[in-house]
Amino acid sequence: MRNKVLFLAFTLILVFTSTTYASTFYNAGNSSPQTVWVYGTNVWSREGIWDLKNDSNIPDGATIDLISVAYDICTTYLGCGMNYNNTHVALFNSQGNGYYITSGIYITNFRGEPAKQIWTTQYWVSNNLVGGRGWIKPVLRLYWNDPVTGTFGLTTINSNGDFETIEESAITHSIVARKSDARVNK
Amino acid sequence: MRISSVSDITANQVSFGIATDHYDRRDLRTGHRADQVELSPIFQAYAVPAANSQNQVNIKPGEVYSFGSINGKPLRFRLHSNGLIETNVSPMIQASAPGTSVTPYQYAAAMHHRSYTEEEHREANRLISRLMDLLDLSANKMTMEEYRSRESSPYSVSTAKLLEHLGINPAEVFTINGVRYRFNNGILTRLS
Repeated sequence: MRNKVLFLAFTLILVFTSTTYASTFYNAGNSSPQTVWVYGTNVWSREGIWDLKNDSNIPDGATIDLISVAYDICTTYLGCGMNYNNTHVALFNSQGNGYYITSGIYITNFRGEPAKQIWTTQYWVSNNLVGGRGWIKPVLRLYWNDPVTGTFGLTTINSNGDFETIEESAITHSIVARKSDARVNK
Repeated sequence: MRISSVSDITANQVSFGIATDHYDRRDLRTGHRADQVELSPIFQAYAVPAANSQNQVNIKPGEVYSFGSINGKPLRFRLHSNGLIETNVSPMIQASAPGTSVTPYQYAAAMHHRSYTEEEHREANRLISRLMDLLDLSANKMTMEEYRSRESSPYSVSTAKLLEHLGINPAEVFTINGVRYRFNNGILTRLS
């Protein structure tokens, strides 16, 4: 059903826009653990890693336009006792430079960074945890540009490494006029 | 004097006087000034206006620039020499090993990040995104057609709004990193 919706979206966009674009669907890939644990208050969590260095689904020259991490947290009282206000999640590039993020909000701070690198998320909590530990389950989403091949798309990667491609909003609102040919891959 | 450990800081002892650009650690209960966290230059009291009196914007890496305000809260940005973008809404931090204690700066940066609403974060990112579009256009990394097509993105703002935040007078010819533009009836035109 989802593929049908996406295919329809592509068709509509081809009809109603005069710009060229490319979009790609991705298969599952390797990743870091789905569940990222923290053990204590005011201490950094374990790492949640997305290794995109050798990912063939993204062009080698692709650079970040926007990037976001959306995450679920352990909220059950008997489980962890976490809440979003006291959970401080950050995203780091391969050099260890990073920024705090809000779940699902795209940030511009990494614009121009190579998309194909190791991205890491870590967090800490500022409240007491039930049982002394907690977790998040993060999903990484990218908008990338590839000036060389003229492709421009959205990659969604959950921490299982499953790739999904293209949200309608990305295609509808992020089309960049290119002189290259349009290419649609299923 | 620096704060040496997070134990010196509690949530009610961190205050960022955003309206006054005065970033001190204060006890919110008593108002007394406590130890000062050594913060990034992005929080410095004075920021260079993005546009000068000649309607020119020349962005230099490392310099902190004023970029208007969001809901009365000053917005600032800095382009690092490594290409990364930092704002006072989203200050840069360095990664720490798992299990290590949060540093005073990391704690303060988190509290500051948290002091903005989700919509304020979105707006800041929209503004920065559009600023980078204009800088890329000026550096010939983006075509004018591409620049114009991105204006309708939900992750962007209008050129008019961008120019307002930069402090540019849109009625006059202006310069971005040496490139001259005219903005008329909502249309940006490159002159050089």
